Amino acid sequence: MAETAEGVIGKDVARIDGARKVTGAASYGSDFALPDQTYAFLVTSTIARGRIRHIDETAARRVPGVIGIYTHRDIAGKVKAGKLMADGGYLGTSIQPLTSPDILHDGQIVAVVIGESFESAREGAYRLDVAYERQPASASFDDASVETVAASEASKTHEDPKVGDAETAFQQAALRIDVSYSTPTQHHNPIELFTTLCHWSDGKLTVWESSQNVWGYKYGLAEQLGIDPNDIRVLSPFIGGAFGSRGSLTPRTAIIAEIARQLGRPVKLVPTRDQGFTIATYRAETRHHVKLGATPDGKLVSLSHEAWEVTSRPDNYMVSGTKATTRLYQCPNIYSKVSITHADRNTPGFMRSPPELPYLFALESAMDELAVATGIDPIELRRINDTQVEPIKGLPYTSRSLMACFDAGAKAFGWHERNPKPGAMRDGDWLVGWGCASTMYPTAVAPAAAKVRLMPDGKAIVQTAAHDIGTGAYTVIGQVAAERLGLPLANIEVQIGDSDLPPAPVAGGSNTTASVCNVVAKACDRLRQQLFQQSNAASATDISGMPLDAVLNDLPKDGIEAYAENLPHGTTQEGIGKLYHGHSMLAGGSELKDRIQFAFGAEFVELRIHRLTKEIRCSRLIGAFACGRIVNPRTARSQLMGGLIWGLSSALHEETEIDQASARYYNDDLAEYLIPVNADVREVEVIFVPEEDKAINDLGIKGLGELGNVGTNAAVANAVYHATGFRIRDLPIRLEDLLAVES
Amino acid sequence: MKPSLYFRPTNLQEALTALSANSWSVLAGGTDFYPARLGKPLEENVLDVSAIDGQEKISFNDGRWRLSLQATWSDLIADNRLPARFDGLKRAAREVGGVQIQNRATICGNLCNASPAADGIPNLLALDAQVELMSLQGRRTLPIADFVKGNRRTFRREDELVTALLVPDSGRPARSVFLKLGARKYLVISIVMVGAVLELAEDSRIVSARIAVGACSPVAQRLPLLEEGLIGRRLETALADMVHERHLAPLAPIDDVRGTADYRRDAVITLLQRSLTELAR
Ligand SMILES: Cc1cc2nc3c(=O)[nH]c(=O)nc-3n(C[C@H](O)[C@H](O)[C@H](O)COP(=O)(O)OP(=O)(O)OC[C@H]3O[C@@H](n4cnc5c(N)ncnc54)[C@H](O)[C@@H]3O)c2cc1C
Repeated sequence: MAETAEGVIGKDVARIDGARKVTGAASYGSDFALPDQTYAFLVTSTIARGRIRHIDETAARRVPGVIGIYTHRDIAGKVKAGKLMADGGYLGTSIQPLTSPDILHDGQIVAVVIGESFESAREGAYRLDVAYERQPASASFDDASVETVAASEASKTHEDPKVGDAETAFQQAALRIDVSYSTPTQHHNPIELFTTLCHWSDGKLTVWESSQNVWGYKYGLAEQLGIDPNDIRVLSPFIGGAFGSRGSLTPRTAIIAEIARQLGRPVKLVPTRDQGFTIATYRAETRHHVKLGATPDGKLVSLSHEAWEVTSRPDNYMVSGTKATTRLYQCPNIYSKVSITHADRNTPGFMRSPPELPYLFALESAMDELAVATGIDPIELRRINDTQVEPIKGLPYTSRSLMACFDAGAKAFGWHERNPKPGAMRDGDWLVGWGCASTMYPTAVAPAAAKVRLMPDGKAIVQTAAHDIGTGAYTVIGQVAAERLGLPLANIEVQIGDSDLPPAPVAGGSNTTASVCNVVAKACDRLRQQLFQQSNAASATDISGMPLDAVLNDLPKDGIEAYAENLPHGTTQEGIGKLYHGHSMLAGGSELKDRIQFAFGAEFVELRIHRLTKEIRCSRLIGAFACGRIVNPRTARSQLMGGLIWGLSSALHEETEIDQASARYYNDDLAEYLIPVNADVREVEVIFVPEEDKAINDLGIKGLGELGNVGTNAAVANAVYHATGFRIRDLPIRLEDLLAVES
Repeated sequence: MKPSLYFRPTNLQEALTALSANSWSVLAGGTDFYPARLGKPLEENVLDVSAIDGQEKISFNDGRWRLSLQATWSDLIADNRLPARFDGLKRAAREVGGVQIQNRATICGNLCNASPAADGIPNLLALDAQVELMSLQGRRTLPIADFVKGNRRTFRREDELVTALLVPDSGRPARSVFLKLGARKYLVISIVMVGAVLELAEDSRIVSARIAVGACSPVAQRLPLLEEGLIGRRLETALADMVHERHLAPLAPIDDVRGTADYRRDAVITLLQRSLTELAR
């Protein structure tokens, strides 16, 4: 179908919600307040495994203003545990606190104190006396009591991609790389805390909580509370950062809802920053063993990627990034295996590029090691092994512009001036290192629904229960509607983040723009069709370019409305049924039968490492990305730039440290959990490599929200090697890792 | 549960009377006080000194600068009267948390909290500052080095309040510096920091040198050997080459999450060299 007149798609327009955000008019989860609301403060466990022996409420009850204390004695039997999202449920963990006295991880919720004020609730919580029966807890991989199982045994649907005979080919290869890597535990730390406000009225529950999945929350809560989903409304108009942490329901929401039900008053919870480390999800630590076999001229003949991930005792949560790493390069013999290690931890969950960030660190570091071993430039090595067909099943990529990204990035970076010898480039006392790596992220699109209403004054309202997690969804949805209806952007009102609106998928897997924009476009087209058919103003053949002015006058007072559902390529009718039950049927990436869909990029890092102190400073960061049609270059650039900075952070700063003896986190605040500050980040440049992909979906949109932060960690490690000759295989890279570098 | 008291006196006399009668925890800007009490009920008496009147925050008298107990890091940064010997302390001020923290946090609070990583202490040592303590018994002053007892401990008596820091100013030309090394560029707890003040003669020979290192021992330490070595030398970048392992004798760095002892020893040398180079520029 031809595009309509305006050409708003692809325009660099400012966020339509920008003014509301900077003036404070946008309400985030914790901004909502209700008359008569009460305040909740959590008490969390100080042990990682064991049982609550007893709880003495005397001192807490004496605090003026404390009106309720809720423990497993009050909640057990009232709130059900649910299934993990990955297993077809809605939750981020199957561990539901307050259903028994058992403690399964550090910082598990053991009580909720309710006060007339935040301060009274907090004081009550501080004075609640909880005694535990402590049992030894296993923190992570190296503890003797953890249990490690192959992912293929743990999950029926898990597949370890393989082709040919990787081991034999490796043994026979002229050049061999055989190395191990690791990535640390990380936490999302969105600036907005994990707040929840619940209110019951006439048996109906309203929940204000920042969520990337309002329909999923509605159905999940209905299951947990044993009520009709139609009696639940979840509102999340603005989200103060999410990064995956608000994609699946966490246990607190049902608990707060249940307390509000028992108390008969609204309850508002604003947990603390450190509680956020244990009541929500996180990125688990991973380990990798990568073996690459190659010919002397750099052609891969064998690729093997074995990996281990930590999860909780009960849940088989895993990210399995081998789906991506076995498909990035052409290679006839590939082996992969993922295992999960059950420890006494909370269940991990999605965190920006869940599989790709840790797994590509391993592969893209190993590729750099191979480049060094072969003496081939790292970019040329990737060119030698580039492919338009994925090697496991031989499926074609709908589009793949990896090398175009490397070429554009290399040009901007000045890569040809690189002296490949480690330590050869210097600037005074600073050793200069240049590194690069590939990034890839699957393009997945999900069924979605949307409603568009056009009013006689030429204004239109777009409704869909999508989410703007800060990415600019409001704006891009508005742009698509403006263009498809042929109206100025200012005439479009976008309503999202409300489970009473037509269902849209979870804001995960970078699918929102592709899924939602396509269905909004469809609803707009349908609306135009209705309009012109009703008014007989045009022949049925082409109404897409017709101006609306002619027909607006004929509209009824309350306008006309069109509703659309969209089933993207690879989904089935079943996907629509799931959509209306709060499930997202994401289709794409490497999961399709006929083709493979990914976005690509190349990232370049310049580091300066001080000869004496070994301080590591990043002086330049450039990413070149090909990710289909860019609906809004301004918001897209922000996404990718933020991604690059996050990638840098994952390489040099972020690590949640866990005490191995007690299995408890100890740097659970923003003073000790390091994220980069402005002064750590100098130049960041985002380059868009034009890419037209007509097959991927009608609008040609690929996701890009999670593309930017993949590969950066490897590019940083590769730059460290280039500056110093030291290969650091365990993230994060801290100055102490470089002490042995000769000054 | 015994209810704890909260008292916010408006003059010094009230504060000192309260201190003599009861046991109190002193609260100034609260930026060390509050984080140290998270997760626990407040069970102590709190004497909030932030409303005490009648003291100029920063003043100069009889060859001495006086920084009162209410002087915040932001007050220090904004004060254009302060001579060059304060440049290092001002640089430290800019690195104490972010601006919001600097607006609330007091210089006295930083000292009284006596953290090994307190960014203010090395330059206070290098400025040869004295601590003024008052109680109903009267007034006494102590050099910084005699005031800080150890990690988070001072020689302040329970009935005393720190009322000011006193910094002598000879009027001689001086240069000063502060350098801090952390795991990121800003908003970070120091792994190592260096504060230095040099006084110079007309011919730019060094007449007095005070150099202190923080975060490498329970209490920040001056480096007398290095200081002695500098006296009489002309201030020039080549001085950086003087710095030697043996100058670090007073330090006792430890291994912790932010860095190993060896690393700290290594890093101090570099920071000292950078400090001298900067001072000579
Ligand atoms: C986010 C954040 C970042 C920070 N970053 C840094 C940093 O980079 N570098 C750094 O050095 N510090 C840092 N701090 C710590 C703190 O801000 C400083 O140490 C500050 O100067 C303390 O001053 P205050 O007035 O807030 O003291 P308070 O917290 O009020 O008091 C600190 C201690 O001193 C005692 N005290 C205060 N005044 C007196 C007095 N007049 N007489 C007797 N005892 C007294 C109190 O009883 C208490 O024990 C940071 C703090 C926060 C919260």
